[in-house]
Amino acid sequence: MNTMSEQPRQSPDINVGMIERELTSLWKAAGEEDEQGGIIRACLMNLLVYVPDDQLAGEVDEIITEVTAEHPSRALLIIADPEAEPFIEAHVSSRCTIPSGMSKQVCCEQVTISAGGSLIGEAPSVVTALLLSDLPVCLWWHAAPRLGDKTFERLVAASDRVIIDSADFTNPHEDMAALAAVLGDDSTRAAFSDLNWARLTPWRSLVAGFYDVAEYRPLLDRLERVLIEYAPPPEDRDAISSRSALLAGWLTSRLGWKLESAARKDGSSVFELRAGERKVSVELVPTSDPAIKPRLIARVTLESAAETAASFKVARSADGSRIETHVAIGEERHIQRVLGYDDRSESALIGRELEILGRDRVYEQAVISAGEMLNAISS
Amino acid sequence: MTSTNDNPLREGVRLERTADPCTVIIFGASGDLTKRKLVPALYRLTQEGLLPAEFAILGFARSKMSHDEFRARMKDAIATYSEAKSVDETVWESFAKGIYYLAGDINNPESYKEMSALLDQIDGERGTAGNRVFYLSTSPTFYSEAVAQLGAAGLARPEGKGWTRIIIEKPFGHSLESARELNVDVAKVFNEDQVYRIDHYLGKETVQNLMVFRFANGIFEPIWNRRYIDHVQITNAESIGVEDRGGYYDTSGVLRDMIQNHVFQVLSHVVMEPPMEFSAGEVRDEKIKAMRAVRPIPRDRVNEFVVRGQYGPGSVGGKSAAGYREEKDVKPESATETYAALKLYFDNWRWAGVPFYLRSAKRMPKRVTEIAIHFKQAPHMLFSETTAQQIEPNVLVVRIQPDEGITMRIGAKVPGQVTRIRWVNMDFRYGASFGVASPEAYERLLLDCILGDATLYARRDMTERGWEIVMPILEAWQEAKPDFPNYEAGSWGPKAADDLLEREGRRWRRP
Repeated sequence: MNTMSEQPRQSPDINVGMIERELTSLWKAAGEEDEQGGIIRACLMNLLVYVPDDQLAGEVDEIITEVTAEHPSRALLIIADPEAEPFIEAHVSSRCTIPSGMSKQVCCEQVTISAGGSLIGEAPSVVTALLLSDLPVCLWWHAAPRLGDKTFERLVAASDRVIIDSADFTNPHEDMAALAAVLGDDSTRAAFSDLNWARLTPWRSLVAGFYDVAEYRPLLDRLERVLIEYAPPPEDRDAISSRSALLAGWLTSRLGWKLESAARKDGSSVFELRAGERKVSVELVPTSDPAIKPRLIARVTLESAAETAASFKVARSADGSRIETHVAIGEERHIQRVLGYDDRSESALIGRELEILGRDRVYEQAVISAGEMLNAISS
Repeated sequence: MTSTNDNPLREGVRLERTADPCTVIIFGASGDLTKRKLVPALYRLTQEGLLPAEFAILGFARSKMSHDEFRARMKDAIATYSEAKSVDETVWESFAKGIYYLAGDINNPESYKEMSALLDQIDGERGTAGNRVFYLSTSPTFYSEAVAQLGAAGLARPEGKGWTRIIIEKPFGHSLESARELNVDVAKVFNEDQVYRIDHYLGKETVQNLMVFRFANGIFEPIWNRRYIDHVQITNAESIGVEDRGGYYDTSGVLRDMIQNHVFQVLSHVVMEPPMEFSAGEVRDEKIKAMRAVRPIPRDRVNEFVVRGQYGPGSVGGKSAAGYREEKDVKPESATETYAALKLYFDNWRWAGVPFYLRSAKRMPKRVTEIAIHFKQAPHMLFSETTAQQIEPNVLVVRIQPDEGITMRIGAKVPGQVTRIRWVNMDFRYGASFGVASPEAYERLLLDCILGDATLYARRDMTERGWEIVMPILEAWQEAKPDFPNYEAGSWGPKAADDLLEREGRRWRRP
């Protein structure tokens, strides 16, 4: 896949009609420049991207190139600079790639809106007017979600899907609780995606996979202890990483456990839950392995009480390149497996999220349960 | 069959179900398919987490080999033929622990006793729960024997030991009679719901998309019939010759090798009625119902409906190409066809009077498989005679390979003071719209079998129907010596194939 061309066109004012005319002339020029006439203009969705400062814009630009190569879109990039004097301006550009196996270039268009100071609040009305009709609108909010912020709220209101990254939460406990409140609000129309949740998918898949095996399935109803070992966020070593909180929230909500109590113990967080008549403890423990990068999960262990003790483990290798599963049923059966583990790039994660159009109720319930657990431990 | 549907952790949009624990037993494990397709596909499925840890492969073949020797071969195969072209040592070690090998004789009951004991051992070591997929990838001459021996050894329907399925590679028979015999032999041992007859064309993404295209888009179904469609062309062209398969191909020919299975499967997706639901039973019921409506070609009128050809020397893609009779392991006087074109009619309400032109061949100018739906002309011409002469019917083209996609050809006015019409393509390309690579057909098909989904496999009645349609043609050809070669390598086939359409005022589309 190659980025073949980028043709910026400056537009002096914010004038939606003029931007559309610029886009039209851009395509006309691109067609004339291409000797073979081998350009395909493709568009499957509107991709709104919000970045909170100019420094991130370059990095985001590369990600947009990669994302639109897989999901051809009209990209509408908002670069906000709250510290700047009030200003707003726009320019249009195209980006072309040659997908593998094709001889023609596939081209998408982009409108970049830069805004500063009080005029940042005007950006949503510009992008709303530039949305292509009948195509889904996806917002990638590349910042900690500012719940209650008007720009955030307006862009969310215009979107069918909102992609955030709870790894960016500056106050994981408060922000997760706030996100839980938004998702629990019936008036929230947009579907939310969380890149942090997407990073959990291989872990969730392996944990769920244990209990796809008919022989092990009854052990899920006999779980009595879940241990999640994680590397805390460097800015607050006492905080639970939002990824491990999401994993705990997922298990809790899927298995219908009710939170009874929460306590801190030697740096760990211990949650006592009830599953019908049974008690379950969920322990979130900072890992002692210094090789595990901050916020990541190191190991998950699920232990069931049965005639023979059973434990199921998923663990990350220290260098992060492999993931290992281990099943132990009593003394006799030990089945171990090692799989390659490739931390997906941000563009790959976003690309995957763009394939999902409906609401992810499992995620929403996991956030609500995680919020409840974090509230309990913080209070 | 065990069910995983009650696992609450599987709920949600992202977690695809992993398959049940099982052992895949490959007959013909020292063969080409095992190393090129099967083991790389199973390795990739494992890496994607779609197969459980409780999974094993048992290779079965005549060659003497230890487990470790077989593992080393498979490691090389994955390094050579997988997309990644490399193997992570630690990951491989874990995968290799589940690979076993048994040297044995397909005809010898003792080999099956050993197999049974080894499978029990694997169940104990790997937790594979007695679930088994037997994959017949040997020479077809051994299929019946292998099936009978599995039955005699109690391996086909073991009681209280999980599920058992069998995948049978193509070719499924050499004639209607041999296909029926094989089906009878298989049915003596396995229930039909245990049998998975593979046709890798059905694993292709675009073939699957054909059903989505027809049945998920409300605008096409109302015009998908004799009222609006003039005729349909299906082209399955290969630019290669017979390569190193000359010995096999010379006893087969394109009608047996491609048309009665792959092309008919594609055709059935075009002509079928909408199924009630997307399930193996419903989809396959509709496909066979449609194919039963094919009007038989009378043996004494084969030449009116069918053209055969064989390539002579020529040039393909800028390189000179030998004629078929000069290929390795091909008889110098061979009468085997490397080109066949058919005209079929369906005697049913939807397709009455609509001709379906099918062609499949080797040594064509390029490799392409496509379905072209040619619509009828607009019923009334508004434009001047000169303009009207520029008007051609609309064509909808579904490309299956390569460059998968859908193109609709429509007429548009050329900007200017006078009315002139130009033909433009509305183009959808998989590669342009979805940047993700499609999974290999074998990955999809193997996973479907392990999950117990036979939708993309051929059912007994469909395999026999394919042979029923082509048998009069093969019998008629047997009686008359062809004037071969009759087309140049690198051309679009014999003139007689052009005449087949031209005498009805039509012509082949140039793909």
